[in-house]
Amino acid sequence: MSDLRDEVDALLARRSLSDAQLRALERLQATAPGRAEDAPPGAADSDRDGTLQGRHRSPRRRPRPASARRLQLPRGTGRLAAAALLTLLLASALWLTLPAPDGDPARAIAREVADNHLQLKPLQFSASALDELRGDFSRLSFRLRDSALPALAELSLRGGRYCSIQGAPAAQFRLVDTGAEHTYTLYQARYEPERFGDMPRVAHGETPRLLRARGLSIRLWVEQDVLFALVAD
Amino acid sequence: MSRYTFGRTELNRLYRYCFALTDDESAAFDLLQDGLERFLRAGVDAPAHPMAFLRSIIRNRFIDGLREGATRRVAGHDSAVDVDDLPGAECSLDGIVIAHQELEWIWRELDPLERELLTLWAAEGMTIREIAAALDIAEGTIAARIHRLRKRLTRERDTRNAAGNAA
Repeated sequence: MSDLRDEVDALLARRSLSDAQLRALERLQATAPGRAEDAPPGAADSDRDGTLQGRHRSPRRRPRPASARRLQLPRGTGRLAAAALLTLLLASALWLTLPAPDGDPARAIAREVADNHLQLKPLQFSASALDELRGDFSRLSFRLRDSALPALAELSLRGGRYCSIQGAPAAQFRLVDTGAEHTYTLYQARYEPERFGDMPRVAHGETPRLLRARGLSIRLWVEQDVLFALVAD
Repeated sequence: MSRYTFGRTELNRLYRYCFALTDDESAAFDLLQDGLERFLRAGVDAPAHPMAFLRSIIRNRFIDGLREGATRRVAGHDSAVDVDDLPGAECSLDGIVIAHQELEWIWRELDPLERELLTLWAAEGMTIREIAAALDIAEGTIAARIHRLRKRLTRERDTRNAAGNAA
């Protein structure tokens, strides 16, 4: 018996595309023509509720006549729009600094590092050992740490780049497993309990917290004064 | 602007989403391929959220397919439960413990949209709010579905356990 989330995750993880299927989908993307003239105006053009109970298909949006598109705006509207945009930007910036809506900082961290992992931005520094990178990350206010987690010993370092976690400066490392079949990203940031919430400490015998986000597994833990986040495909 | 290309990890995530809807690996691949072709034909160079956009196309294609095949009902009456009256735990799937074989059995008994909900929650790590946004459905509706799903999962599990004990 185990947690429903883990069991569902495991059930789905047993279903993967074969190499041939992946190649077919990659070929499809590579050979697709540019913008098609016959593209539907709304590709997602169906009833989104999904109850299928006597609902009607949403009418497709038709392009408005040119005369209707050419709106005559009163004078000063541009300044008002700019002020509204500025307010929106400020509100967005404020919103980004607030805690995650579900109140669990770990989930917000998991989503953020998973998004970073999927973006796979170019490395700023190449290295095969953490020692080679310490000098490169001189702008960080903490010392990069070697983790005692046995799983990390199996992985090979490829390099790193600066990033942030929940607004805190952080280092991001890219690692690969034997045969370079899977890519991992490891993050280190100075552990701040008020920002990151309570996290397991491996030195106390606690196991890293495992979360799922964007279809990826994320492990979070603390060693000495550093928060670690490991994202795996 | 260059067109967005889905990587292998993303394609597998989408495949699992298709599998959740179809409960058939072959049909899941067909659905993914169909969705991807439509995504490419839509001519959107770089949508803000390509995964969400393609998932929405896939979902709509799946629902269209159901509609063409039969008028099968895939979701219950959302208005039957007033989620405001429910304690928080009832609108969450956290805390349910289940055995591997039980889930395999129950999975096949679930509606496509129930499997979809489980997938977005478990594999994608989405909250109720995020699922509601992804599916363009009211949060209350999602909470009601989760409430029903929770009841159904525990009922099916207990029924199966009772049958196993009797045997």
